[in-house]
Amino acid sequence: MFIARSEYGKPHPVPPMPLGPTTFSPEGRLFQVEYSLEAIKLGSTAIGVATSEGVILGVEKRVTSTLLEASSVEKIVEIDQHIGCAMSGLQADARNLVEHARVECQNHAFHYAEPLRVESTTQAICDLALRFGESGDDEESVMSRPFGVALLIAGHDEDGPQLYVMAFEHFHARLANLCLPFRYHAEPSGTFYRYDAKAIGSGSEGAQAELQNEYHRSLTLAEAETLVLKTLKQVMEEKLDSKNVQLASVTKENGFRIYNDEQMSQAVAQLGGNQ
Amino acid sequence: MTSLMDHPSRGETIGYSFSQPTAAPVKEHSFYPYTDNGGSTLGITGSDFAILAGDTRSTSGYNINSRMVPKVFKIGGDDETGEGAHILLSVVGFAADGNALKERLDTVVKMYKYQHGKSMSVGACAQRLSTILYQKRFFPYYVHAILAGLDEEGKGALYSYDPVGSYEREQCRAAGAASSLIMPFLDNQVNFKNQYIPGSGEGHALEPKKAEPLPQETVKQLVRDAFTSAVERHIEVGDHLQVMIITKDGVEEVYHPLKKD
Amino acid sequence: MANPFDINGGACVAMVGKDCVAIACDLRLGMQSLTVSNNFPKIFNYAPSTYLGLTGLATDVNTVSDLFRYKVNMYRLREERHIAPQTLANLVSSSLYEKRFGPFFISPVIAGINHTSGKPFICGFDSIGCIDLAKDFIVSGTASDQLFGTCEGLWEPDLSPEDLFETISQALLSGVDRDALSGWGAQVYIIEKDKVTQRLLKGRQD
Repeated sequence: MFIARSEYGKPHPVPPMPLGPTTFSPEGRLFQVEYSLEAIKLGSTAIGVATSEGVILGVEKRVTSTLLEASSVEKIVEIDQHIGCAMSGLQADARNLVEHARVECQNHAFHYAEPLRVESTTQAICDLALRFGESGDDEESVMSRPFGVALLIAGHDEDGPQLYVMAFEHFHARLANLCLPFRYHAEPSGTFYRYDAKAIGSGSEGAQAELQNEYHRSLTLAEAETLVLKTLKQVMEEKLDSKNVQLASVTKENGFRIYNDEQMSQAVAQLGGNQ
Repeated sequence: MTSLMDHPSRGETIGYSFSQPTAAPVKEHSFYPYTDNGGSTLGITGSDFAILAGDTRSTSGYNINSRMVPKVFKIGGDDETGEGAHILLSVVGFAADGNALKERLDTVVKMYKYQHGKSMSVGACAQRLSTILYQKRFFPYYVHAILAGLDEEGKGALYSYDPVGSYEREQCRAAGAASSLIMPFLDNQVNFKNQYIPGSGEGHALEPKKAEPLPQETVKQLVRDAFTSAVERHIEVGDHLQVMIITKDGVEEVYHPLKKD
Repeated sequence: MANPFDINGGACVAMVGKDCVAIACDLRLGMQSLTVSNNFPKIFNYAPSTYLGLTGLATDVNTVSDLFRYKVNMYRLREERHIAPQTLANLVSSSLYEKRFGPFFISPVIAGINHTSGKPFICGFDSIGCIDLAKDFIVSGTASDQLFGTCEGLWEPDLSPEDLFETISQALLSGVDRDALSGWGAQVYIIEKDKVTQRLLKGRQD
């Protein structure tokens, strides 16, 4: 398959290149990264909407069996008092990233007596997300493949409410926009973007289009809650109810709050009332 | 087998009550890793400024190493001169540890700005300095540190430390060789300890005079008085007085002469 | 073992003003960190305007104050006049030096006005009688470092009796507040040519 010429011009076979997860294919692609994207595409839909009052996160839970305890599906988790995170993709991978983010937040609070900024938290997650491939001499162990998960990171700090997205999809978005080859080397610290509203997972295309139409800067937190639920309802295969979705909010006053059963029922009931 | 043969014979390892120690007595060499380089530092805050001062004499025992070794530093500045710094640190005790600590904190503050895209607050820096000191709990930086700056509200902020990181925010603090001379003077003149409002009552009804932030000129004069007093009575304090004043406009540094005897 | 000078704690200070002197002491008596009494004055009167302050080991404070009562009484009987502060200073010095190799663990302070010259006089001693003549102030006791700082900062020349009282009181109270072994109230004597005012200061009771 791969043929190179020796300096004497005599062709001799070169053993096939070991295609590690960080090795480019001859076409200049990183297959493992692209596969990780596929994993995310299969993931359940997660939506985040940022307003001036705070950020709302929402996920569909995909209750695949009537025997499944819906409350055991945990797709929105707390990172710190002021930061929460919604996931789509391989949840096991997300746990690694979230655990890392939690440690970074606690470490910062321990050393500096202040909460870690949302952007710095996101950066910390992205640092870990890019640490895949062959481990260096000084590194103990890294993931052999890219993480198969995308995260919506919602938080509040001195710069107000913020929503960030960590996903490998951005590498491709940049590729398409800039017509440049992969630029990992140029951005070795990972890639993330800040959004006003963002959807990830299987229903993200439809959901993102809906958000694009409905989002405006003067949204209240209550309106954002409705928008998230409404959008989820449109892209979900199951009929939306208070058991198969989960909401969470991040505000200045209360920090990260995950909605309890009562609040979920109320929010879903309100959605029904509005439509 | 070789390993067995390398072992000393039983007779050598077991000490019988009648056996005489054969090994020559080991000569005790001890290395004490610390020196006290003397000197004193002092910090006072006001409503919109903080002052950090220190003498510039460096001693070891009864020797004077140098008459010009500053003890107050700008932390997190943009260049060697410390331009742009918004935090001050004074260190007194073992000068080598003081310098190492200053360099380390300076690096941490600069890295913080790169990593988080904002300047470190004095409160955050205060906590960080505490953890830096505590990390060396069993081989401490032999220094008394004082950290100064302006807090989030623009008020003067002063934090004082013990060598292993225990810290407290205060209005004023003296540290170093002459701290026991300066501190009670500051209690009296800055926090008005033992002062009462004349005619406010008899006996227990007498009202204590409340401490309030002093104007900058008063504080400057108190700092100079405190040091001229300390120089008079303490042999490790003298030569020059280095004073740094931090306000919203930046850091002003001045040197005053002190007695050189 | 603990330093005998620091076992019981205590502080004393003397100051010169314009035609007046002042001497003040704290009232604490302790055994190491345990406070035993808050009424242990350390200033003793030997003539109408001659005072001796004694800090250090409490048993020596008692012994030495009694010893000088005996010696000053003998002086007065023989000489038929009050002892002058300068004379007391020399008596203290020679008496302490007699115990050159087994000294009393005390640091004496003298304050008074010489009635012949009318001039204020203060001096201090080490435990073996070396006289420290000072024009401004003398400090002694476990809070001596602190007192050096406060006195050096607060004292100024030619203070009136009222101002001298305020100065010595502030210096002593602020000084002993930074010493764990001294405090628990204070006693102040303001000595003028023909008037002595004694005041009790409450101070911090910790």
